Amino acid sequence: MRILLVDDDELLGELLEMTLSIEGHDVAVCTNGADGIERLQHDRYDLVVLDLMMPFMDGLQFMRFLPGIIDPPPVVVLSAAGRGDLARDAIAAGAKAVVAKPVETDELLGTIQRVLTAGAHPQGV
Amino acid sequence: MQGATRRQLLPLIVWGLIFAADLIGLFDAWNFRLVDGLQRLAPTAANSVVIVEQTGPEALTRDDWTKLVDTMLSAGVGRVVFAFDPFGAKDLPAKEPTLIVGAVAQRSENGEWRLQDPTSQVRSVAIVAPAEFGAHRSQFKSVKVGTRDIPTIEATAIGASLPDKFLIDFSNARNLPRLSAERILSGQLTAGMLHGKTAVVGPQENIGDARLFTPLSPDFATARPVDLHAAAIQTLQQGEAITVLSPWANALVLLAFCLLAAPLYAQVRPRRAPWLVAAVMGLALGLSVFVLWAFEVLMPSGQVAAAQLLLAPLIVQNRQVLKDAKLKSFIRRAGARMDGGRSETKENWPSFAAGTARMLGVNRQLLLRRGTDGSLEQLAAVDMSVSDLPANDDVRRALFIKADSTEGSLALEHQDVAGTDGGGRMQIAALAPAEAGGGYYVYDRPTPATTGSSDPGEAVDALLVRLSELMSAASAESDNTVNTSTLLQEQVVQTVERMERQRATLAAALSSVSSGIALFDAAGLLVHVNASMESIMRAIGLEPGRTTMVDLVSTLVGGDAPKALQTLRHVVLLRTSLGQPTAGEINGRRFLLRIDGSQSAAQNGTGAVLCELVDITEMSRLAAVQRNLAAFIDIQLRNDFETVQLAVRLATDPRLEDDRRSIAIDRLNMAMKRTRKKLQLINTLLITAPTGDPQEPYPIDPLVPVRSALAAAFTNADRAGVAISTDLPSLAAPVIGEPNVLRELVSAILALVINDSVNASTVIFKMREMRGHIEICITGGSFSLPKDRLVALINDTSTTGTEFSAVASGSRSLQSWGGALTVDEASDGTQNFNISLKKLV
Repeated sequence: MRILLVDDDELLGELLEMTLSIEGHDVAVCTNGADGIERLQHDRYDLVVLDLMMPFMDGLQFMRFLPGIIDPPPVVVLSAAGRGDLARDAIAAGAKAVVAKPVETDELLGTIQRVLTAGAHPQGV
Repeated sequence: MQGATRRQLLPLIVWGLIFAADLIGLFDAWNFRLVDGLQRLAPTAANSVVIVEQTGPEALTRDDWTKLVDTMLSAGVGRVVFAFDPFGAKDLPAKEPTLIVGAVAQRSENGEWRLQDPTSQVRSVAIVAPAEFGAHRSQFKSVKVGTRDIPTIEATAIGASLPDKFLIDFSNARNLPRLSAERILSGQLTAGMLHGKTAVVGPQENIGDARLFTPLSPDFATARPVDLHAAAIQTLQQGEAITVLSPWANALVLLAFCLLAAPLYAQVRPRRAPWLVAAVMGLALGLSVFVLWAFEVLMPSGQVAAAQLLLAPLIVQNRQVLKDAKLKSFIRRAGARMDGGRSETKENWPSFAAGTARMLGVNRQLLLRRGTDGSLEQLAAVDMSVSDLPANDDVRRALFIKADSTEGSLALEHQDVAGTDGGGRMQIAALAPAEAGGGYYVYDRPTPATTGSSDPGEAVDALLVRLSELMSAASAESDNTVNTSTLLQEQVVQTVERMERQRATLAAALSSVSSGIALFDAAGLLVHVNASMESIMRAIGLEPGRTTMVDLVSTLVGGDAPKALQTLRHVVLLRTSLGQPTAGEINGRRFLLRIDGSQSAAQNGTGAVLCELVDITEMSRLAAVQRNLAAFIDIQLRNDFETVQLAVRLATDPRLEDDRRSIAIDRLNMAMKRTRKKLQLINTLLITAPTGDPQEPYPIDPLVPVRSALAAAFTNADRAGVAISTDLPSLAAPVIGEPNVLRELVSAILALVINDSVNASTVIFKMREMRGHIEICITGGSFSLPKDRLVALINDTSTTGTEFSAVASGSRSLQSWGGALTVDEASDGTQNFNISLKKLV
């Protein structure tokens, strides 16, 4: 599956990219929301993993741009622990799932798998 | 630390804190936003740079580029700057300094700069400095490539001395003219278009080339590297480069502001302090804007503003504490000398006696005086009357004679007083010798169980002595046979006179103390109240003229009158002081009620008690600031640890290819370095107690009090022949708590467990970090009490002075911090104490 990872922490982004790659995913990394939107305009992705707290264009702003993308992919949001308000806003803006930061790898992989499966089988089979 | 010394140190403490925060870049975002804002507002000036790009689909050859340079030079261009090297590494056209060619260099993850073409011999590099807070806003004078220090194309183009790093002014770069290389090559140049200007030439743009964010984003969101180079060169040519001060230079500016502002905060009235803070912050901001505009230097305005917000309340509060200390000391001394206040004198003294005894825990009492005709007069009574004494005159007389001949008090049998089961609790004491008429005090001797605190015997004995003196004085006065030469009567007269003199002074002193103060006599009746407390009393529905100490404490702290009475007995009997937070906010402020019986009680056990309401609103606010700061650090650290964990997992994953594994190991090193750096700052930012009040929890490192308790326990364990095995993490997440209370709780549990362990056994102490909390488990060799009894003891807060009561008290604090203390029993009968501490995040 093609995954777009949008996170301003470059080190974490690179490690997540490697982690997702060895799970068989094709991963592209962007360090800000604007780049992410541009990527989505040019290429097709099956899923977006999005950090909420980013400078200039944060995750919620990114979500507001999504409806302008043709066939937008589902979004899994990474939200800092203790910021339940942001997580709720992200779900309201259309995110499919929220994973608390600091990210626990197994939880992230499980959530991605669940969202991808739900996307492929809308009935949740 | 003395208040005056603390005041002098406060600016330095605040400076140190802000400096530490500055080192991890907490204020960069604010300072950069200031520059960004000014750039957005700045008018656009004339351009001195033209951007030249190849726009056609076919890549230009080396000859094309050479021709392009020649064409532009013939069109009068001042300088041509290539942000890449289209000419090949070893064969540059010999036109420098008019022609500047930069070899593209990129920064590796470990921070080293590397040439894209390692064989390039060019004398300048084209680099994009790393983004700061999401935007590319600065450029370097030069970078180190291997062992060579190579200037950037911007530095070569300007040819003047530059700071090592400067901020780019994007205000003039929004509308830089662009020309396509193909148009120039086809000779379609308008006259004067390039004359005297600097042409910055970029490579052919490819789909997927990275777009760079700038401070003016989103207006300037699609910047390419060539745009940044053009903006940087124009910034330098127009003399608009902004110098970023080093952290040390920032620290000096900050120190100057702290030291200059501190004396102002020490003088200003508390109510005007916010205005002064706003003025100082405005001055700092104005100065920053001026320095930025006039000298192109970025001042630490964010740091200065944050420092003022911390410094002002600390200094104002410290000054208030200093100011109040002298007055309070005077009031306490005066209160102590008042010997209980107005109710102790003249006709009021029987009521005073009854009230005081009630305060001491005497539930039944009877104060009798023999009149001139020999009959007994009942002066005061609580829950009994003279009719409870034997009705038979002979029996009653015998009882009084026995009391007269006994020094101190005499235990009564159950037949001597109605409504008692005997057991020696009811007592009688002769207060005045028979030849002076006689007087008696019959009372129910309080026990530790009834008072809820220590043995009240000493205080009651003191009361008896005082009652004797007062009865003698009163008898003498009523008989009009005053012998003014007696020491006792002198004391009474002097007390009254002194009290009258002090009352006026006291009222003036009380009114000038900022905190609310009420002075009560030992009977719990109001002697004096200052304006601040009077206003607070009215705000909570109490009428000062009719308010007793029990009323005030129960209303402020919450709870019923018996509970308040028990608290006050504790203060009076233990000759101590205690502080309790008020149940809620009063007029939008938070208070701590301090009840002080230490000075007055030292006199004779029946003196005045001072109740003071200390405004802790600012302290609570500061504690909240610290909590937020600690929460921020915690999140940062958790992210770093997770990154380390992720890198470890990757590096050990057998599916990872070897070349990627080496990258993962490299990233692991980077993540660990980043984490270590933050850890070094933690000690600076996790500050010790802001209020010193056990009821006011804040983020703490639990390892500090735990290690302290363990260090003390090892000595006790050695003495008892018991070993302690510890298993502690090297680092623990911040938890909510108060270090002194936590240390005492852990110490008390360890003492219980060690005392109950058999010789040569081992006490096991484990500390584990769980998902939402930190768990401490203490297990001993055995525990002799059944679990139910043990749980009851460690939850019983009515006793004091034992390890069990210390555990009970600590357990209650623990619950208020969101933690818990539990006991569970292992299959072998061993009981474990489990302390759960709530983690900050």
